[in-house]
Amino acid sequence: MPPARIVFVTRLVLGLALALPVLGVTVAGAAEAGPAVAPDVVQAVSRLTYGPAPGDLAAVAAMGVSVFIEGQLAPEAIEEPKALAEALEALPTQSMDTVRLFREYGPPADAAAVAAAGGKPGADTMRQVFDRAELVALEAAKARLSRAILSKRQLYELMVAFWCEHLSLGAPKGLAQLWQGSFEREAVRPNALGKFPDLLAATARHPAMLIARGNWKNVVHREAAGGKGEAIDPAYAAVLIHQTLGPGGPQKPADTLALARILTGWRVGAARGAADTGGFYFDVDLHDPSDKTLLGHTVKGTGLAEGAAALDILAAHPATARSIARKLAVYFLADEPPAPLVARLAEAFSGSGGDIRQTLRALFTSPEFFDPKYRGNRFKSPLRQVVSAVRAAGGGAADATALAGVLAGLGQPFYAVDGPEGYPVAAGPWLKPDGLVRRVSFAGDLAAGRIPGLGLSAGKISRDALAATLGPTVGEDTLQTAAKAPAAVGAAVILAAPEAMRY
Amino acid sequence: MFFLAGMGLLGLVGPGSVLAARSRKGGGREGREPAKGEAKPSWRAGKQLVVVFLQGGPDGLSIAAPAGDPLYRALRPTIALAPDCGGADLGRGFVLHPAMAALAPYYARNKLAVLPACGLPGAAQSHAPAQADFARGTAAKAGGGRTGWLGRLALALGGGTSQMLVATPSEAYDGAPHYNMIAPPGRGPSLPGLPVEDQALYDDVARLYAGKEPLAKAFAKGREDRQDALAKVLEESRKAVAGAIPAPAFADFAERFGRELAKRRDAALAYLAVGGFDTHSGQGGAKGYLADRLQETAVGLARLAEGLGKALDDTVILAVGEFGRGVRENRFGGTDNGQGGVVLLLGGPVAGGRVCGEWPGLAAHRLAGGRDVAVATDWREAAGQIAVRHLGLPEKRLAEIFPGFSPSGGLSVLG
Repeated sequence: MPPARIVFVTRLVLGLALALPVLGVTVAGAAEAGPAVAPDVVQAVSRLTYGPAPGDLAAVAAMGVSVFIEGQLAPEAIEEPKALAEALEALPTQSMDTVRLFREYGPPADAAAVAAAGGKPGADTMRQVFDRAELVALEAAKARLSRAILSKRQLYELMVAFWCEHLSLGAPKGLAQLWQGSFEREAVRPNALGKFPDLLAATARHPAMLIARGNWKNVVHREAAGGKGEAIDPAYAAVLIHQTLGPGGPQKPADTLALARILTGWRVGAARGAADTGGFYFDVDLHDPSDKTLLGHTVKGTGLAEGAAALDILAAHPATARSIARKLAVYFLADEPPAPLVARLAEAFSGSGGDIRQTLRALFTSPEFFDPKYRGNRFKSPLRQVVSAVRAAGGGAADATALAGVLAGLGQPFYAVDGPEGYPVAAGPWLKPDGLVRRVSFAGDLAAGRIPGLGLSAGKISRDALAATLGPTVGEDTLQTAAKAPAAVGAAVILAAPEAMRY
Repeated sequence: MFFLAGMGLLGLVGPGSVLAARSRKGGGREGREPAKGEAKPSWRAGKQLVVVFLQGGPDGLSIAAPAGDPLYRALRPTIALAPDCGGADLGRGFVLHPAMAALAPYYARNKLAVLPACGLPGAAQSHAPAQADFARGTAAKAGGGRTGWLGRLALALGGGTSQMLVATPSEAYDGAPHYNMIAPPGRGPSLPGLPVEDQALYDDVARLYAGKEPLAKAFAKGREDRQDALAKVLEESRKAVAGAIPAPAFADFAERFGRELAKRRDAALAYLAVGGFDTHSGQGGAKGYLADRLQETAVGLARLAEGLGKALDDTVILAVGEFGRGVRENRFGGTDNGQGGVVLLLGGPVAGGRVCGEWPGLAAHRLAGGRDVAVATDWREAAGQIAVRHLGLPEKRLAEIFPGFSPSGGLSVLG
């Protein structure tokens, strides 16, 4: 038997030879220079996906970068793999809307009756409700991970993650946990590449948001004389302004208060029967009908329509365009994105009425996007590192339970971070000594088949296949170290190497 | 075999076996109190309680794994047992660790009861103080006597008449009027480490992270911290095992201990400690370090039962640790010191074949301190019940054994 190193190199050349017809380079040159995938292909795949799965680099090289980008911007036309549908079918709560989730997993009818009569359901009953809500939230996390790993609509999945964080529900609060999944499915997913104002309207009205950010408590009692019945809770208004205008926007405390008044009477109505749609309920009797001034605009006291008007004012504000444009540039390009690019993206955002697809197209077709200085410059978030490793290894997610746990251990559990905008989008904050060694351990666990549910048993991941999948992003040092290591460790070395932490 | 030649063999065949036999008539810290005119404790001849102290905090979530609960697998991505791991189905969603198969027949014959989420409420959370809490039979913060609960129980059961057979030193039987010690076999402590391939991975990767860039610096710092932390927990584990029989030696010793107990029907109480359960790292799942220790423990308990033979009909074996382990897998593929663990009851009088007591579950809002299985069942409920209903301790004297504890009566572990 030849030494391992020789076998490795031979297989690599073989893999290349198969890919070469589409890459259009010569075999001789490739064998000398290593995998010859064009840098633009690597950049497009590493930024528009969670990381290449086997064959991705070759496929994108074959279709061409611009076709790939346009395809990812139109995910409706991309067929999803059967394995993903199967993984999602195994999660019963994933096909339930907000109202049904409440009926099947919320407090039982008798407890709801007690609550409706002004009493409080028993502590035991409520504990059981929260037990179940935690399982429903876990299913939501499993669904998100399965999609991130298996979906062919990778850019779409990246944007779903982006908006779920940007329009974050914050740390688990009340029964919002029950609806984290339906929040994603009903409010975020339909609008993740659509128009920002629609996205904002859908998330603001969702019961998960109303509960998690406390806006259901934001009411005035109109019958009460002298304003004594007021219970203005500006928590969500403050978050909403932060999520739109950004931390450095032109907002003043008075704007937050005005917005809070505009949003009074926005309640959760899942238990109210036939009339409810998705669980949102506007209680006109708990709404402040006076005229308000928001960011210099007068908002007439018109009830529910005030909210729509206010969200439009926020969405259309130039500060919002700047803030979203910058954050997208950070997410897809660099912790410190070039200012001219951000300005152009803001223009694309404003000029299209907040069209997310148009804004992204401007980003992915910009010269900056393919500038060599932005290649491999970003440190992965735990989510990206975990998902990219599983994808590179060719894993699926028949059951992403354990993987969801891994993510929690790496410091990025879903729907668990407080603050208005969820986890940091900039890569820098994730670069921590403890987190880094934990990622190395994760690579070892993954390669050794210690993480169940991914179809990756011990010995199933070959370092040769990994090297072929990841292409030129794997450095020569890493390849040599992996080739010298025992077989069980070789694949782990590639998944744990410095290159695997960056993209 | 060396220990047999050295001391053990002699010790097991007659009175000469007793390496340490002490009498504390009148001379002990506690002394022997007169019976204060109350009913003479009616120690029932031939009835025995054997306490097997699982020292180091064995992982209840591995012994009786809630394998069907998805939260269990999410909390323990690499060390959770799968529902199809091959362990016996205990009911109520629990699976016995497959390495403990030696105990499955006892469960099937209703001679083994499993108490999840079991512990001493308010016990300390580091080994030495928690072991002292166990020995006192009450949490230090709850006050209580300086003698051990087994010592007080021995005294209450009839002083010099009853004997106690022990194999390892413990403050638990401090205050006992009389005990015999059988020397346990000596073998080095068994400690977990990291899986070998992980060490190889870290060594290889360290070369790739060499240099001055932030990533390399962060890795170097992280690895150094990790190794320091690992060395620290291994040192703690070494201390946690002090005085106990290393689990690998338990199986060989247990049958002899059982046979000796079967001969000494005057010994109402017996005590030994088994160590090696402090799994802060490299714990493993269905296979691995802990699986090996659990296998040795299960075989040991089964052999203890075999050694008792017919006497098992009148004997209850209580296997209990100082605490359970945290629910989350830690960064070393292990678990940290926790609270609720699993208590096993084995023997003829046990109403077994079931998982007894409350199971609070693993939902975040149910966990003690957000990290541990909450203590739902006090092990003193079980021990007290055995003392009263099995050994014949007058119920009103239970407060002497477990100061500050009053049984809820909600648990029934005896047939």
